[in-house]
Amino acid sequence: MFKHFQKALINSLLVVLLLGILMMPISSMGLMSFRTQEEREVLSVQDTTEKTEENTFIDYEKEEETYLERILREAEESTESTTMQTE
Amino acid sequence: MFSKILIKLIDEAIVPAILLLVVRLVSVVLLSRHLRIPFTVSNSGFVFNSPEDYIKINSYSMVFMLIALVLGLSYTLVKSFFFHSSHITPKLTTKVFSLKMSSFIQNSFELYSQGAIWVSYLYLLLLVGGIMALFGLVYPWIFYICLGTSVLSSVLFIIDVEKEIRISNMEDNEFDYYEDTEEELILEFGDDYV
Repeated sequence: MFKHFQKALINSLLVVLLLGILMMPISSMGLMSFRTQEEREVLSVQDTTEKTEENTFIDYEKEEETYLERILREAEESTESTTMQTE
Repeated sequence: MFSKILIKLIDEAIVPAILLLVVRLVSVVLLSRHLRIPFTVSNSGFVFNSPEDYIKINSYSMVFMLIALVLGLSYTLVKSFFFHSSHITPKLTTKVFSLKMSSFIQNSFELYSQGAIWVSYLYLLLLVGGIMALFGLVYPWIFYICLGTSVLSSVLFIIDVEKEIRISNMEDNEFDYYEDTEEELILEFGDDYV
């Protein structure tokens, strides 16, 4: 009983080995792929790009600071104008 | 303990597997160079910039694989038809022995195990080619060529197997021995010839 089981096990391993060898060159056909449109549009560090307004570095902290200063200045101006009108 | 047929099939499958793998890799590189198609090698293998380039290289590379398979199959079929130990002609036997190429003469077990492996590779290529053609990853004519080759090689192998079955079923009195009318061949086996 055990002897038959051992024989069947070895032979099934041989079948797996045979199928593996058979599939080896066929699986090499999956060693090829291509870049999709989306993948091609992603910029890489190695890509050279022209320096335009679109890709220039924006300092958001400085932008926020100037924006707040402008709002404060406008608020001050508006309060000054209202006090002048009341006088 | 080990199955004799399985061992033989594994033994016969190694050389075609390596051959096809090498043909695939070399053909991809050479075709890309020849057609000036750029590619990069990454974890996912050869990566092409566009699907058109991929389809072109994939298709022509598959043609090279098919050519390698056809060559291997033809070699096995020629041996099956002309150098099969069961039905090789006496004249050809003498010629083969005089040329010291007796390894060409093989029995059914050797020939059919080789044939089964080559035909299996062809069917697998047909299957993969069909799936790829269905999804537009290779040109459809590749699949039709694979199909034609598979059918033709299968028919030729079946003819040889039928011939073999007919011979094995024949009785002793059914064998005909013809008198050789052509010129007599004298074999010289090196220094032992007297």
